[in-house]
Amino acid sequence: MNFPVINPLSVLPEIILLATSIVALFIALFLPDRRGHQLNYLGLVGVLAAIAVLPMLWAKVEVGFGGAIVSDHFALAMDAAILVSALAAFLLGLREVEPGADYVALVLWAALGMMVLTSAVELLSIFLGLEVLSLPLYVLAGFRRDRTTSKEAAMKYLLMGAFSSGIFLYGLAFLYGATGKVSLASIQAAILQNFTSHPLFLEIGAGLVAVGLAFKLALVPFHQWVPDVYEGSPTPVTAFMSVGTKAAAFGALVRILTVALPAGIVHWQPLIAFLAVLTLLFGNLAALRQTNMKRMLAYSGIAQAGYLVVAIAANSQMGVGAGMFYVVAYAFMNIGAFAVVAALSGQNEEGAEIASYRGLAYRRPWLAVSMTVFLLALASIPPLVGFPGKFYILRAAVSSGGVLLAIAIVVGTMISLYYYLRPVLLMFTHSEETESPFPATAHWTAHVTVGVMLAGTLVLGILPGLLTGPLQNAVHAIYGL
Amino acid sequence: MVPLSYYLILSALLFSIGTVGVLVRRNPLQMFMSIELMWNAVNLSFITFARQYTNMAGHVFVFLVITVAAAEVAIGLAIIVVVFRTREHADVDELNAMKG
Repeated sequence: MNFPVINPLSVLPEIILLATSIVALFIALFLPDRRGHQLNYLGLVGVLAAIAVLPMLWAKVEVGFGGAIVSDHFALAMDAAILVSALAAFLLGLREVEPGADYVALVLWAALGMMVLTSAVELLSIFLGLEVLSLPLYVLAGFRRDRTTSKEAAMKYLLMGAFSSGIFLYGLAFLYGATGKVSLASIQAAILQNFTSHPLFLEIGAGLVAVGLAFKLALVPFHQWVPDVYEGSPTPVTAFMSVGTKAAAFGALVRILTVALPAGIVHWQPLIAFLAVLTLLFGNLAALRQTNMKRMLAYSGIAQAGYLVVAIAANSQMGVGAGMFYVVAYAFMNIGAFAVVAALSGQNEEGAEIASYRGLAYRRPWLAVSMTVFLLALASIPPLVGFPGKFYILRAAVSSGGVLLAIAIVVGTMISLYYYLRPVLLMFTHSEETESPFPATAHWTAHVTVGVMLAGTLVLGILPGLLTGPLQNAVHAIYGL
Repeated sequence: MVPLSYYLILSALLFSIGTVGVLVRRNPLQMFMSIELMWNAVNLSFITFARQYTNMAGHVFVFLVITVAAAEVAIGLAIIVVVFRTREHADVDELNAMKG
């Protein structure tokens, strides 16, 4: 017999995160109050180290754990987006959450789960990745135990998260039941060679898996938990989970649906397209009437997930590539916007109302201008990164015959202009008030985050080619070309 | 011998009962129990399929699911306790600080 190869290289970034979290928890034992802000910097170093090894792993595809985990270009590209969002969780976390070793470890574990999910190619590892990412996030959502909204967010996230995991799990059971296999490659082979026990099992499995991940991706009509959870969670956690979870769930959806279940045989495409259209229209319409900045960004996040799912519905290599580009673009724009919200809000999130942004440009010009750039990018105005992102998705949708999807994108974008531009208008409207609802200074790390995200939004918007080259490799990687 | 399809039907029934329970019940503990019922219904499916294909993957899956479910219960109960320590009734409809 042959023992399965473990190959630690295939999970090197994950190992770094895990080691950092253990060191942080261990150090906390010797701190006088068992907490300590400094540990936040340790988490930061761990994430930076994990980012640093990504280019080294890019050279070769590593397969680990007997084929359960693959560290290919697709996984590494998604890992980059996930790690950037984890970086933001640490940079922004210093002020609002009073981080200790617990915060550091939970963020690192959630990021670890997300990274496992993007590189998992067996049903078992996919399920484990999904749960390892979810469990720490439930706790993180309720991290500010002194705030009613934070506790409520944790509760709602927990119930909806566990519920959706159950649905997802049932989908995995049907995929296993249809083929008797757990690895995605053998499931695909079994389907292509018609070795399936019952065609209906495949359809049910694909549907349940799609619905389970739709909860995580926040697609309409499985989105009800999102606004409350995004509003109630501490802002750094919201920034982290809005981007990280989407990147991870997108990765899983691509690997399971577009790669393992050929759309010609298993008919998941209409379901995904339907969810995409519903999400685009409803998400944008619901964002119109929000008065709280975080809640508005939550609905905007729902709408953005709609664009992402159009890329999956296109079911082509181009679609997958466009979706990946959009994940990276969304990471920069969205974390940037949340970073400004975090920089403006103090310990207790005073001033999260959109109305309090009036006249911001005259008091805090740097933050106001940055916020303007992020909101315009989310509205996909050129030359910011949202524009090429949406252009690629539109292109992918049209070239695979999804004209209706393309129309939905355009209509959704038109609606979104209103709610993205309203805060911009407010910020540049002169206000008579001399008293600002915001604390006078922000932590320097918040400014660093805003700066990094601003640079990404501008550079990738003007030169999208920097990213499209590597992404092409990534697409080839998952299609096994 | 009982045909394997019977187990699948039973599992689907249990899963549906769990789903309806989550949607209908308003007590978080009962909702959580319904979710556990869903997870365990899935376990039954996995075992059935493992029997059908006579391979071990389904059994391994069930062990993992049970482990993860235990972790989920620990975290879930902790959150439920934190939320309802300051309230009289455990009812999710009272969690309405945020709207819109």
